[in-house]
Amino acid sequence: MHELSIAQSIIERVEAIRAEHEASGIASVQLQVGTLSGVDPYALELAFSVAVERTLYADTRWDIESVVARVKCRTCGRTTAPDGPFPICMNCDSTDIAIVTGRELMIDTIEVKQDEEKNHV
Amino acid sequence: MCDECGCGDVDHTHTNDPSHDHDHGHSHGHSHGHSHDHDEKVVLSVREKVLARNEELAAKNRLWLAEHNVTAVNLISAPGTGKTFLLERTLERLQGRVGCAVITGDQQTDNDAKRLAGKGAPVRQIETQSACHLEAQRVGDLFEEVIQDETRILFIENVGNLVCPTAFDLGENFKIALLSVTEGEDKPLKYPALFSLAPVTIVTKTDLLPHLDFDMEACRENLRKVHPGMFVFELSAKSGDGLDGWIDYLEKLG
Ligand SMILES: [Zn+2]
Repeated sequence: MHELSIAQSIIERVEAIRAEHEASGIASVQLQVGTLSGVDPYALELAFSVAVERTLYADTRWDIESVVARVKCRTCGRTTAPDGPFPICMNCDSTDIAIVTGRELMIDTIEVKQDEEKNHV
Repeated sequence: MCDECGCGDVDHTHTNDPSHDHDHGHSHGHSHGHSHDHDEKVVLSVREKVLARNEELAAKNRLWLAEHNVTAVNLISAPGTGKTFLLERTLERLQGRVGCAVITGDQQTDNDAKRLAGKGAPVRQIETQSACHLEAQRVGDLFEEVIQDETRILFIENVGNLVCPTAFDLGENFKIALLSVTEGEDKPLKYPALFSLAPVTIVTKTDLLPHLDFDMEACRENLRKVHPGMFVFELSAKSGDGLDGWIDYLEKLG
């Protein structure tokens, strides 16, 4: 299950960003996971629940946004959203396509907690 | 300037969700005790790829390999496709003709490395322990050890798993998917992430075809559905059928 090592690398980056901003904690993290990224959002959620145990991030909320696949067809030129698990043009059934979205695996935003005093220095 | 706190940072937004004010009270020892009313939340826009670090290292590996005139292939399959056995036969056939090297990932034992040793190609093993895939750093760390002046092809034998290794770029020139005829012809449709990335698929254990209900034509169709123009080898490392085409291909690659 590579979701666990992905969760761990996300936590490492979040920790680095928290330290950089001298924040006291992280309220939430918004992630984007494409349907073609090879990462299962449910497995990732489960991985977080294991990986954050006894860390500063035990109460952090991990919001996983699924990014729907969109493909641009080289045959008919249209951009469509395939409904199946593999990239195919929904207009003409062509498989000669370029993937526009769906491969994302990104940290989008991080909601850090800061003490008010520190914030106004 | 930020309207709410006047801190001059235009890139953040505030959330005022009072229900969260006391949620995190005791998990991270504040030196000043209970002043949580003063905590405020700031949203930072990060927009960063999770595997950015691995991708940087993979790019470094790719450059190194190109400078040393080595073509690297990343072999990915489910457990039990006969990947190591095919690699044994391949090294034997290429010995003295094309300089080869092998990096193999194994979750527990060093059996794979032993099986591949003594066939004219340096072999190094990465013990991945619980990890289900290889990462760019550990692969790149072995280049100097395993690659010699005459090395033209580096085989990276990934951990037996169809899903996880697909997400981690190692800096290889391309991925090769392996699929045994015992697995069923619908595998490419079930694991489109790998099969859409790999330009080459090897269908292995074709000597078993007479005993199985495997539809090779449907398999080829499924592969090309997921990946138009997919290059497909059908072979048996055991009987040697189809092996010549694969070896020819590698000789041209090297
Ligand atoms: Zn089309």
